[in-house]
Amino acid sequence: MNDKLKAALIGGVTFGIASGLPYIGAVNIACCALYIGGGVLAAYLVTKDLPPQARAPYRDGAVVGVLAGLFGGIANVITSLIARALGYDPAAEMAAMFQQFDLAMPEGIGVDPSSGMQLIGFVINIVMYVIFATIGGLVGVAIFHKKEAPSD
Amino acid sequence: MFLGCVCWLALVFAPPFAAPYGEVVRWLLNTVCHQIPSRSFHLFGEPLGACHRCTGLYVGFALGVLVWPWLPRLAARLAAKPRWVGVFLLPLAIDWAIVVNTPESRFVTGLVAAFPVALLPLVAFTQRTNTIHTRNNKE
Repeated sequence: MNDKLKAALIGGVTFGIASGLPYIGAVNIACCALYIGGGVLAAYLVTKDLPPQARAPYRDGAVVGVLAGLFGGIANVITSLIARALGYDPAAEMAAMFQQFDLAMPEGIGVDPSSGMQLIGFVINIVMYVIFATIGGLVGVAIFHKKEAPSD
Repeated sequence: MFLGCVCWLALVFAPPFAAPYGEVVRWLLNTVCHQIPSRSFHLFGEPLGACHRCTGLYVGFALGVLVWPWLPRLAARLAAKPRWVGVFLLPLAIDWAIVVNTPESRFVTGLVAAFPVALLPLVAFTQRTNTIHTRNNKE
């Protein structure tokens, strides 16, 4: 398997599953940390084996981020569906969290969406995942790439 | 890319203006932001589609996409030392970690964090274009 594809699969699926899990998935309310994290992990896995370069390979970071987002989004949807089938209610979890911090509930949360809306929601989720994981991939390359030592 | 940013910002600012569809827009952005009303800017008494910090991030990113092409020297410096992008993320992390933060601090730290990040996709795009040019010249 291609190195980029492997890195994207590991980064995307790990964080995608985490996003779909009860409680852990709530970390995403902190600026989509898990969405971005998938891209960052994929970028780290790609850059760690690359030789030092004068310029950071942003192109690779973007590509691996897009792929990680795609895999992560799909993994997230599958995990969410399994969690819901097992009786997990994300709306109830959000409501409990808002109540705990004594905060007003935003509109739309807690409303049980129709299956059509759920399907649209899943597609939107994957698109959002791709956008944020791409940014994560770029940030990951910026942070982890090995810089070539200047020649004398 | 700037057009994409404008569309995204339009979504964030839409709920107060698109009253009957505001809830749909909020639902769209629900996956990427908690949208707590007390932690969001309000227009005409209606909260925006994203919180203070996320609004700052999106505005900062859009500003970056708009401004970086006009600052080539600074852009080249930052692109040469990209780890500095991580330094700009620190204020946001500190502001997030401390319990007592304000709407202004949340918005500004978000803006400061996202502004340099906007340079990265621009550089990636340039690298991609250069590769295509080099390949075409070889052929």
